[in-house]
Amino acid sequence: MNKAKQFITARRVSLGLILLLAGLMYLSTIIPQGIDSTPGQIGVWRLGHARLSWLVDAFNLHSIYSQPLFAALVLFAALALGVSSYDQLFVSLNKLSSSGTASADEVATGITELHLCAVARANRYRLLQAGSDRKLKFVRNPWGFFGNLLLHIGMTLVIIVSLYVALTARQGALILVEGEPHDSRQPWDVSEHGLLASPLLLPGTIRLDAVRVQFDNKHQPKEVFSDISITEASGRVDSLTASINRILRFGGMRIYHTAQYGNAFAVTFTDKSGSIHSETIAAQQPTSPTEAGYSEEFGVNWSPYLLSAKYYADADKKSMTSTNPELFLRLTQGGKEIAQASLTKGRSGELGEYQVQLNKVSRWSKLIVVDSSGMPLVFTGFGIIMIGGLIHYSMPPRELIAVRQQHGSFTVFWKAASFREFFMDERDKVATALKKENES
Amino acid sequence: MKMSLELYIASNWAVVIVYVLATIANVSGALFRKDRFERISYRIAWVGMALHTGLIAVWWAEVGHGPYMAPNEVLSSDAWVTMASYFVFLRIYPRIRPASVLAFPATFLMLALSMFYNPGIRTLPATFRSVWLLIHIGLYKIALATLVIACALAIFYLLKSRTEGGWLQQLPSLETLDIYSYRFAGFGFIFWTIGMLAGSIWAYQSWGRFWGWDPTETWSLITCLMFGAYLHLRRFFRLQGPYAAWALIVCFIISLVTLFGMATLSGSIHSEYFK
Repeated sequence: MNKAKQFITARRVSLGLILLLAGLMYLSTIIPQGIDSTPGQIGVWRLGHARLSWLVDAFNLHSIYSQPLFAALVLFAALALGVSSYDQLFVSLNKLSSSGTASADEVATGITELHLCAVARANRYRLLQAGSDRKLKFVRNPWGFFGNLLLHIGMTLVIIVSLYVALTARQGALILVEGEPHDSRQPWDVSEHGLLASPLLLPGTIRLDAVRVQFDNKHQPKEVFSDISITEASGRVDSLTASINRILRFGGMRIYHTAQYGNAFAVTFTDKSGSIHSETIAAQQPTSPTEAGYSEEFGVNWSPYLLSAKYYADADKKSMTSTNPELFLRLTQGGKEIAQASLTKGRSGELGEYQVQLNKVSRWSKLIVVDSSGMPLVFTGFGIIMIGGLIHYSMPPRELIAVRQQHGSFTVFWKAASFREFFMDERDKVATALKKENES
Repeated sequence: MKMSLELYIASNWAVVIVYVLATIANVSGALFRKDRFERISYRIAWVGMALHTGLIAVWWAEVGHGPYMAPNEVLSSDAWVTMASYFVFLRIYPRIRPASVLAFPATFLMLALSMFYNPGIRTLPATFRSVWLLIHIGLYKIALATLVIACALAIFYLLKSRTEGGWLQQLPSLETLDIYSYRFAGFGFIFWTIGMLAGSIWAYQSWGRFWGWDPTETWSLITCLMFGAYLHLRRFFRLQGPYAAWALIVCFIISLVTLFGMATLSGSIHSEYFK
């Protein structure tokens, strides 16, 4: 047991673990990862690095963060930090109570207890213990002994709870268009869930009632609100408002408003045979009256071409709140533009071989629904790390240890727990103040 | 107060010139052992900082957001924080005085570089209107400033340990340079870590996730781990002297890759402002 503990907390093991984790993270930035790359991007990388493919496959390097080996390493790091925290508790308590003078500088001798206490108090050293009648110990920043302990406890907590969150969290993203309900049985636009969690289901039908945008005097969106209503199976309807940077809570879930919102254009396409196809195209909100907001390029099953759109908030390019936006549609094939058309509400036009008409303009927004627990503990861990780090690096303890001599006066020693060189001026100041008694 | 883009650019170049003059006086003072030159350099740098502060404030009012959207704003505020941090730390730790030989040129170079990034008004996405963003960015800027000082002291350690005589003898003892670079690396590590944590709180508030393995996030964590390893080596393995100085310089380069390299090259959400 002791050997296992020694191994886990060995300094070389900790250092190796830090470097191994940093190395794996570095690999994840040069080898495309499944979590943030498309299969196409991974394929292109593999073509360019054919000789490395066997190595990447052998160690599953396209999924560094989602493989058990990485989770095991992180767990081992958490275990090592946890055991180390336990050890450090005793180290901190020992340092707090120790009154050894082995590495201390002798700063004065023949000092009376009264003068010693006065000088210590004046320099913010507080009397911590007087257990043995031969020694007195004064410490400045005694909490500094616990900085490293807190730093390690915080890191342990963050790692363990983050792993729990990753395994149990589930979330889904929805692009909602004003007035169109989204039933809980319909699939999410994007969704993911941890290994121990089932897919997330909405508690009812969600409907976007309105998107409201407030602009500042520079036409920049200041606040974005999406008014939604959720109808549960029981028939109960809840009206809620989601907005950017404000977490909305509903039924144990959190709803986030993303920065993706804008106008959704209902367009009909009539082909040469007279068939009519309806599409709703969502494009991102423009950033000013003179700049366009863009949609993604997408394919449709009734045309061989790719379709994309951009729009100006105002056909006259003067206002961000106009009711007359201007839409530009574009058809491409093989990266080459085939046709373009511009439309305003109710107008029709030609887009290559299609007759197009803009029937309706409404607003859209993208919401993310998250169901996870444990985040307050992660943030508690963050707080502990911050406090521990600040205490450890900014407030190292300094000690005055006074040893009683046979004639009743004291010889005084000074030491700093770390960064001794930084506090030489303080040591000299204390020494000078102590010696003043002898001089007077 | 209204300010045209042309006037903003011209004023920035004027500040660059003031900082260059401060650097010339400072380096001359160090090379020729003239304390008077160094004192003059501080006065010139203070004038530069006053002008720089005014420019940042006026531009802030003009564009309606803090100096963290366009690349020129980011670099300009990095330069300001580096100079301001140097003066703050100089007051607390007078022995870091020689670090000005790196801090001053770093300041004018960052400000000059900012002018090549097509200064202009960028819109502020609604997600950026969060106090956590200010904390996140502010702490990274302070971390950069403290790491510049730490790196300067490490470089001086290496130079002084190899050269006898000359202006380097004016520097504090090798032991002092070594311990001060260690201490400032510790400060940088703490500011960096807290900046990273503030960023993850902001991400949680805005996007519902506190970590997403975004390239810049990942590199920030790598930097944090590398500084953690450096501090571990110093504390438990008694790493010191030239090896410690080289280790710190490597960590500093990694931090620059994270702050500027990833922001320019990667497809990170953090790189949006550099495009």
